[in-house]
This record gives sequence, C-alpha cells and structure tokens, in this order.
Amino acid sequence: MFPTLRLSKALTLGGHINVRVLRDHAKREAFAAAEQTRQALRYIAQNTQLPLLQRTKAQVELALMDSNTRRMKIKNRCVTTGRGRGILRNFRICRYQFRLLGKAGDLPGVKKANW
Amino acid sequence: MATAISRIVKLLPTKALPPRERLQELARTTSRIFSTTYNPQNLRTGNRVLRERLRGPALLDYYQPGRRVGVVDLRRHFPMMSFVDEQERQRLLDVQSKKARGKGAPKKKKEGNDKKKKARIMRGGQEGYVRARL
Repeated sequence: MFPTLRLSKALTLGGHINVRVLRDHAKREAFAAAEQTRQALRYIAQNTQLPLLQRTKAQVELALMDSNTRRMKIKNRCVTTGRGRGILRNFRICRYQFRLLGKAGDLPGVKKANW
Repeated sequence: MATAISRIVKLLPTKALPPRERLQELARTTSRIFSTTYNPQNLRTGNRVLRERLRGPALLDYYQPGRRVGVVDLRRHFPMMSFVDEQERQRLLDVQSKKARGKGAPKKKKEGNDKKKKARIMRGGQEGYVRARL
C-alpha cells in the first residue's frame, strides 16, 4: 500500500515515536536529499530561454521523481503525541498538548486568558 | 526595465525626458556596474527558483531540532572514507578487557543431536518443542 521508504539508521528523534512519525521523518529525509535535483530541474523547466525539448524533458523527469521527495508530502505532526491534526505550528504540538503544557506553564510566554 | 526607467526618471533634475534608447542604455549600464540582472522584456528566466533557499535542513529539524551529524551519517554520505567512532571503540575495548578478566558474556550453549531434536519438533507440535528444549 505504502511505498517503502529508506530511513536513516542513525535515527534519534526526540519525543513520541510511532509509525506515522517515522514515515513523515523518512519523507523529510527523502525531500532533503532530493531537493537540489528538484530545484535544478525546476529551473530548467521554468526557464523560457532554454529550448522547448529540454524544458519538457526536465518537466517529465520531475514528474517521474519519487513522490515522497515532494514538499507537499510532508505533514507536520505533534512532537509529543504524533497526532496529525490540530497542530499549532509555532509550538509543534497538538491543541490538547498545548492546553496541558500551557496550563502547566511549560510553554514560555503562554498564559491562560482570563477576563 | 519599466521600474528601472521610472526610478531613473525620478532622479532626473528636469522634467524633459531624454530619448528612450538613452534611458535603456543607462539602465543597462547601471545593471552592469552594480551586477544586477538586466531583463528589459521581463522574460521568465527561472532565476526565481535559484533564489529560493533550500528548505530541507529546516524541515529535517522538525522532530528533533538541532540534531547534529553523527559518525553514522558521515559513513553513509562518504563511504570511501573511514571515520573513527570513539564510543564504539571504547565499548569494544571494554568488552576485551572484561573478557581478559574472565567476566565476558557466556559462550553459546552447544547443541548436540540437532537432527533428532528437529525431527521431534516436526512430529509433535508445541509440546514436542518444549520437551526438546528441556
């Protein structure tokens, strides 16, 4: 169902780890590894000065690249629970963890509003 | 180009405009001197892509920010070179010294009559397997 991803063996992730977090991290690694190739191909494809054949070839090659090397495949997940929805980007945790940690005073600058 | 000309026109002391060719020449010279791109037709050269910063390192930092490169990473990326893993070396040294003091890991149990045991396992199910182990 899901294509096999190669994870680095030196994987030391902080916080919660489950399959989805690992998968997402593998996608991040794949993206980082292929990013320069991807940008080079994008440059060729978008440069109107270059011959059309070359540009089309670059486009085809981009389309044929592993889909896991795409930026859009990466999804931010909760660092403490691995939850995929309701993530606060600035804190990298989900809304419930934000509530818990915020109440406990573990998030600097976060305070429960009261009026 | 249009922006370059308008900027130049603003700097002019009089309101009478010089001819267009002169202005273009001026813009070209300006971009040559300050090494900026001169693109009068606003063609799509793809430079936008080259100007983008690489996002990979920042995205990799998501789950554990500040994860530094380790020996394993180095070995993975430069397989032709050799790197010393200080921790692993120390571990192996410790094992050696323990062995020398007679405090190493016990040797693996030698299993005699392997064939017979395997046959018994094949015949009897789990019970047979447990008996064989005993």
